[in-house]
Amino acid sequence: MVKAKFILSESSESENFKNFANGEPCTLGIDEAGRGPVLGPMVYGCAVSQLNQQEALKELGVDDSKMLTEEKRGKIFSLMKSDEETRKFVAYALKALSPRMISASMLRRTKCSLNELSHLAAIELIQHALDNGINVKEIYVDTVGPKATYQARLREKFPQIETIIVEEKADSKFPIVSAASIAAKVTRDTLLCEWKFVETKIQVHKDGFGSGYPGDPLTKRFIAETVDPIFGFPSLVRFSWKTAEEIMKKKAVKCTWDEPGSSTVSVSSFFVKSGSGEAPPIRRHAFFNDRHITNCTSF
Amino acid sequence: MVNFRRTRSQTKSIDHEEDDLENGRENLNEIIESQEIKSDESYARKFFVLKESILNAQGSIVPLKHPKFGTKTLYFVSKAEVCEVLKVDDGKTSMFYGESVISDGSITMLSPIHPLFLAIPYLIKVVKSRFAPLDQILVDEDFPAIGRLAENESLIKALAKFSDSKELCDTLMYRYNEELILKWLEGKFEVLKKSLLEHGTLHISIADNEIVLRRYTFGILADFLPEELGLMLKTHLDIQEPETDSYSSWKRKIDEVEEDEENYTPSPQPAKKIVKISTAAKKLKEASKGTKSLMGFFSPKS
Repeated sequence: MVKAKFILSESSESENFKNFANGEPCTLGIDEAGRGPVLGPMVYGCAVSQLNQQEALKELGVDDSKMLTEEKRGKIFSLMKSDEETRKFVAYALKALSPRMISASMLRRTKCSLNELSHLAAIELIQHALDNGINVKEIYVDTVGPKATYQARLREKFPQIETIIVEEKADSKFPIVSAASIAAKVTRDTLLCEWKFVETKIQVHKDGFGSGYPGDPLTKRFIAETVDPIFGFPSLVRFSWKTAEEIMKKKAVKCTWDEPGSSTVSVSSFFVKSGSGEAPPIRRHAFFNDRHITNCTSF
Repeated sequence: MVNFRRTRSQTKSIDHEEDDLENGRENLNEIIESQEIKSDESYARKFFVLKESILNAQGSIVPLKHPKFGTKTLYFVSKAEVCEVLKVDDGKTSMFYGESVISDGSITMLSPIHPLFLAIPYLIKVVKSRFAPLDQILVDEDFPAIGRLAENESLIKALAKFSDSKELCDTLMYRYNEELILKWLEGKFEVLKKSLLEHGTLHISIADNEIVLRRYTFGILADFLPEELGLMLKTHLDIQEPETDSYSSWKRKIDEVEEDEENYTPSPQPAKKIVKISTAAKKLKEASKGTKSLMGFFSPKS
């Protein structure tokens, strides 16, 4: 089945990712950046490092990534990307999920929640590492949703991996997760900074669009100013977010949202007034109702 | 496109700017409601989706009896093809066309259907225990067009294999054979199941579970069969109904996995009440099982 281009995520990786460490046993960490914001992509990062190189990793300064300054993060990621010495003991791969992809997934007929998208991205990154000949012995993941189910899911998917640990705040507990977190954050920040609007005539206020978080007044203003009453938001905006919906209610043409749990045909349509002489309408299987398909009885 | 002229400078506070736009938007809705904006009628079109071979086929759209519901339903009938006439309409789709908008974006689809589905109710009625030629079987004074299927090549071919047939005085005669029809339906079932997996964009809760998938596939197939035959097929294929236990454990699983994403605030779980539901509501639930309404246990806008 052909998929629309915006539905796929964009992948990238460090030059040394393929066959990293030449089969030496490695540890792999997964973290994300940009989960909560209403603007911009969500980036999933995976970092790999040899099991016997953990000291070098720590010396790189990969501490709790949230404690590092933006500048420090940028410096570390630069080293991971281009420094020959650093690339001997660490490599990374990334997946960027665009705002359009996130929103479309959360609102389509067969919905894919943000948690589910996250799990799938993590699984794809792990598989990518394995497909690239990396000898993964341990996996550490920062949790998204309940960690027990997530951990079980990963263990079922990758039974051959000896150690799989899913934890909260994994980026402050495991250096390899912190490295992944840095790669993801810096990449997201860059993507946001360098965002090129597909839409014409988007005028961003001179103060910018802020951090991208729904609570940020600059971000709110950006969304409010760039919403089109008929076409909605520029593709930088996650239109499935409540913030976006609120603004649409006020500033766009009235529209109805597909409420989850609502049936497409009312129950009362089953019933025909007795003696009316009308045949009850054909009620087909859910497959057809979900796709709004009915039989024509007249032309 | 309606233009929103800014009347205040950008140094004003953010709240005032929002008011401006709100007023503009109210104007737009007023304009829409007053119906001042009209589509250009010369662009009016209806949309059809159908196989190319049908464009060239000599056939017409006729009313026939729906094989399951028995009601008047439209089909396209030609010598080689029979199609359901279906409407795809969510009530909210419009199309851009040229310099205008076509408000009614619904699509009429001619969907191929095997003529044997339409013939089965007549086979059951007329030749359950005797033989008769096709043009005496496919007779219906309410829906005379059914007679046209007597010449349909696919139907004749299928009946040769899946009914009792004999030749008498150069005329082919047929008798309904339940076993053989079930065999034909079994074949159709397998093809449908495979196709659904590949093209059906099914929810993973259906696609990943063989039992649910079989039940779902059967449900679609049953839409084309008289009630009794449907039930027989159900037994024949060993289609399992969900037990109420497994449904609620499935529901619990969904609650577990689908958590509040944007702002994680733990919400108290409402006590699960056992409510007696009416047959109609039960039927509705049954029909919607395994589809998007179940996944509505989480809200993207919570």
